[in-house]
Amino acid sequence: MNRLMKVARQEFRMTAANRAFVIITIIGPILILAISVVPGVLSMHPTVAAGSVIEVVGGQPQLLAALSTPAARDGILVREVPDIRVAIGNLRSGTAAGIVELPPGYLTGGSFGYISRTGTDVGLSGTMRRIVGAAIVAERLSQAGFDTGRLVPLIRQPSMNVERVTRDGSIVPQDFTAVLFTTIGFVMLIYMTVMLYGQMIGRSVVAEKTSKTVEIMLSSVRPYQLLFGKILGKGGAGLLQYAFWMVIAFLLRTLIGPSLGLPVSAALSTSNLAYLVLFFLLAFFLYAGAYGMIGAAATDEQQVNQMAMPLVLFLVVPLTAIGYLATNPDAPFTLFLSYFPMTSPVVMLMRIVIETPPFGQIALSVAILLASIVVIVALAARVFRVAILLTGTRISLSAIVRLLRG
Amino acid sequence: MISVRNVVKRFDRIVAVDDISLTASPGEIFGLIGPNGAGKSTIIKIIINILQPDSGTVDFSGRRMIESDKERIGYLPEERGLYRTVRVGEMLTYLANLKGKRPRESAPIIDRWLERFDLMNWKHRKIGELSKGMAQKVQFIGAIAHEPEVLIFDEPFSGLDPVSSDLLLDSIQELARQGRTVLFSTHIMEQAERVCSRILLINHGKEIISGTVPSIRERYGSNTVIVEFDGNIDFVRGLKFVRNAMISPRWAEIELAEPGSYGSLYEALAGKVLVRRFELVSPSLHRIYVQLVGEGGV
Repeated sequence: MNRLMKVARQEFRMTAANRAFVIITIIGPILILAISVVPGVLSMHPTVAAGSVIEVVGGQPQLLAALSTPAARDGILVREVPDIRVAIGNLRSGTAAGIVELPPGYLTGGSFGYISRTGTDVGLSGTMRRIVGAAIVAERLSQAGFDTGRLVPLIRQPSMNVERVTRDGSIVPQDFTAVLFTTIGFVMLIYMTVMLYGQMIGRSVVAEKTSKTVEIMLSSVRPYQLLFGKILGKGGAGLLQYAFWMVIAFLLRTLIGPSLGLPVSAALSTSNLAYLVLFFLLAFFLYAGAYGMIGAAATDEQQVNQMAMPLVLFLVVPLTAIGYLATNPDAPFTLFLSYFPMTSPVVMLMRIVIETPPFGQIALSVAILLASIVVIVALAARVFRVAILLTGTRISLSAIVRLLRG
Repeated sequence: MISVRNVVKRFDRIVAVDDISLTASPGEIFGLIGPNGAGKSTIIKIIINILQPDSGTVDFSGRRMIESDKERIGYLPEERGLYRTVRVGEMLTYLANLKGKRPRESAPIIDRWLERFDLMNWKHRKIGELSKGMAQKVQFIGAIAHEPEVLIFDEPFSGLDPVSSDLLLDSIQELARQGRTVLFSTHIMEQAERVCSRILLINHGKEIISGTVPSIRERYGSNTVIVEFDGNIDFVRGLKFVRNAMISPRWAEIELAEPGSYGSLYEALAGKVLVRRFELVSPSLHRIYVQLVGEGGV
């Protein structure tokens, strides 16, 4: 076994053969779901606390009567209060959850008021918007002489079944919510693992540099063997983690989900899982090379974090723009980010899960990434060779540029 | 055998190593001596091929050194650093393996040295749990576990207690007796004087003096007197025939202006203090070192 592989094997052991790795491997996807998908799901399905009291100020008796039944279906108790000051007092004391204020002329005016303690109780306010709005429309129709019992079913909006065409030309249902959250899960997985392993490499390099372990290592191996050994070893640990997660996802989709009747997203397909692993590896090698370079140039861990800030920003951009990117997968900005190597692993994967882009686009993205990895790793090896033994002095950006040119 | 020929190394405008040559042969302990910052560690890093010289060459066994020769060299750096989360046995096996020694070959060697340094019970503990002295001994074993022909120790005794220091010194001497080439750097002259057959004293990257220890001491003549006494002999510093005096409470090394004046010194001492020992000797390496380095390294 050559020395590079010996270093890689040792790095793999140091990364994978410990309790923290096992724990992260097991609970990692759960954590990622907890911090990315669950808040989204919760915010998309706001709840209304059963027994919430809404006080209505103003409005005609027949309208108030029309509110009670549909409100009760959602667990809301509606009661009339004649004076707004009393209603506000009840709201402040907590005996009421909200106030619906119907101003004079509300039937023709086009708006009514809703007051709550926070202004953010979207579940309750949304429900009241729907119920009061429907009651006002029904009242208008009634006053205009229409039979609301016959008219309301006639003007109800039909629902639209969203489907998409796959690469082989077949039409499949598209559950946007499931696809969106699968995408968010994949994106978070890549983001967090690439950050984790990238920082691990940066910290490992700078720790060896400051503790002088690097001198012992370089008395046995060449600088590039040490750097690439680290990258391969930690990459292997990451791959092992992904393999475990992929097996779990596969079992969830094919065995566990169907047998327990769990709804499993169709986006969790074998091809999407394969692309997830592919883009993780590409992102890992790109960022690992960059972090290795930074670790060699830095004087301590704090400086690694400072110097890595641009890398973090590149990874964060797709996360912050995920709403736009997911709903505009073919927009020029999205296309650019799916080719730009620092963002493409995340954005192209996002596009693949959402729309299955033409294979040529995927291949181009992968080719650009591979070329970028070659360049970054070559630069990293050059900086590493020179900078790894320089301790005690901060290496400036201009010095790094000189190293790269030299 | 390791030969360094006319090596020069600059860092920006600073000349860290200036035309240094040395040869360390099998079976001998070669001392690379100099104050902190003299360039000792830089020379060592050039020898083990971590740094490239700007000019000059390093030969290994009579030919230009190549990358694979690293496997035949053991290196203990000045500053200690091993992976804190790795277990002692695993770390030593890994280091030996990187040098080409298979785990099953290195295992008995590692066990033997762990036993010798009373570290066998720590074999399965993590490096981070070791005391500084223990970690240092483990690192020493890491440098020799692949049984290299050439051993390079950079300040091997720094931070060790006297017992551990003696244990290490004995081990180094034993390795030299086995025919290995040992090169070690130090700024502690007593150690160099005790074990080195030859030394190279450098300062500011330049050679100050080199040769066998006796020949160097001889070169500086027999104008030094070792005195052991009871009393106070500070007054000798004021005597006109005394050039220099290193005085401790009961021991002194006095350098005379002229070798023949030792009689005058004895007379001066005899009436005032109880003289237990009065011996005319060559100056110690320490004395020579202080004299040469203290005079600006010339």
